Amino acid sequence: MLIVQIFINSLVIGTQVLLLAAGLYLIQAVTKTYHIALGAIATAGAYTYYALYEAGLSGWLCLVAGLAGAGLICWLSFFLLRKYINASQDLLALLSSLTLGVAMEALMGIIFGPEGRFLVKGVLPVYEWAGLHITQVGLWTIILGVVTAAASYVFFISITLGQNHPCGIPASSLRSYHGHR
Amino acid sequence: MTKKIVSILLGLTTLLALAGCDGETDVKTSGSGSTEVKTYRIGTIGPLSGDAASYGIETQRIMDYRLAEINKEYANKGAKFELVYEDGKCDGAAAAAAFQKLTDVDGIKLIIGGGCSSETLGFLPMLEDKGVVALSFLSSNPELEGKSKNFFTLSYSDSLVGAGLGSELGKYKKVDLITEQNDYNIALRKVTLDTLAKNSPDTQIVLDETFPKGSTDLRDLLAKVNASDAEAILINANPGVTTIALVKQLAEIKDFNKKIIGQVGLMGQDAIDAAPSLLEGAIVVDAPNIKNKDFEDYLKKITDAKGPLDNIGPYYAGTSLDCLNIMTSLAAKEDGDPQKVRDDLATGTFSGWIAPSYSFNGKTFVRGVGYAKYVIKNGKTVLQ
Repeated sequence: MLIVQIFINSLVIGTQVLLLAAGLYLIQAVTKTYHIALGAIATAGAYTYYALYEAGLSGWLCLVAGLAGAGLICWLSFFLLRKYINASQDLLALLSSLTLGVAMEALMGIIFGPEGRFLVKGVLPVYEWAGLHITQVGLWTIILGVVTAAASYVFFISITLGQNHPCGIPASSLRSYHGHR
Repeated sequence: MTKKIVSILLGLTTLLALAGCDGETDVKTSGSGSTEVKTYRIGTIGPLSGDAASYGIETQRIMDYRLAEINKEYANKGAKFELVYEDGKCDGAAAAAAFQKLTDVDGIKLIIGGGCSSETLGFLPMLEDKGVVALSFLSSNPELEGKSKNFFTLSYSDSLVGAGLGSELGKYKKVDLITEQNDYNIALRKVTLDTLAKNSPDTQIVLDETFPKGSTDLRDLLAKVNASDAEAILINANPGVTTIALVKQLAEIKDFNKKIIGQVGLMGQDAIDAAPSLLEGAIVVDAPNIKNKDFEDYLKKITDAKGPLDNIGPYYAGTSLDCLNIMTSLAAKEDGDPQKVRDDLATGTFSGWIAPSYSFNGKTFVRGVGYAKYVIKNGKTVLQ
């Protein structure tokens, strides 16, 4: 059972990495740029959620605000990188992204302080079954990962719009494996 | 043109280097001829960011409060003290950079710090070369003993705490150890294992695992711990976020039933509040308590004025105060001369919050301070 428990724990962490990596891949596929400030942007979204949650707003509202905040910063970062992307200056775009990421992390450190944050002060809610356990957050992470993977598969493999999308083009070998053109 | 720029840069670099060669303590004189006030600048290096930031920030609150009182006391004696804070980040490299900034740029010769043992180990080799003296309020790694004649610490040595932890673990037949990969924790683990080997050879170590410094997801490791057949577990992580994450994730395992033994990381109220049911009955080996009404009232004044002191604990609050009291009094007495301050530290006897009388007797660690055992009961640590 230990190995199964470790598998479950690893699935949760792996899904978290997948969700972040998917964003990184989507941007790279379209712009040929590794927007490594994405991690800092995701953190900014998380801190937006945290700050509003601590202020007493409902979880769903905080989630929408966090996603909107991260999206807004990402959209603004496009203006920073646009001229390098258009000029195919990938290295300069990478350096700009890195600088933006470092600056954002420093700003968040100044605003929110150096210590880590726990949104749930006590122990996370846990589901148990047959000697195995998974936290509620972990379960939602896996569900989100499965839904994202399934939706991506359907979009890039089965739908014409996705097949022709720049992000879907590298999946051509996957499509031919499944008998699609 | 390029040669000109290089020449200018070389000149500036030389000037900066020469500025750091000043052998005098940074002493400024101000005021009119009849009321000369000397300003003594003392550097501090502590973890103001990172996982152990709660210690550095709370120490800063304590010292800021006390410094205002000291300056009032010395107002008529022609002396004034300034503290220059630098962030050691509980990391050797960052502390070494902080040390160089204090000494080369600020010209400081007296330092309170480092905080974490990692910080002190980072700049310790540079102390004697630069003629700087440091007095720490927190560093406890036994490796510090005798490493520099210009360094002293009011913390008890981890060798004492390790002996205490080894003694508690030795009461069980099978134990697990989980240790963060940090200088302080690794040193503590070594002393604990040595004590177990020497005093309790029958105690079997089922699991002896380490995890990367600053880790916040330890579920796999804790699943292994739960699956082991040990009776007790030593939680040896840095105080702060890592310990809090560890106890929260351990509490997620509903059938966890091993005895928990820990060190200073479990003394923080944040850690206890994170998983009070799990930690009920846990044993903590840490610094001795300072049971003194005057001291408790004084800490309350600092809390009211500067903010909470939930994590630092009474002993290290006491060492922070004593460090500042000792350094300021010696700086004034010896007119900032680091060599004379060093000699006074090595040979003198002091009185403070941590003990009515203590000394270093030429050693690094303060003499005569032991350890204490606590049990967590009803969400509070209770001295045994």
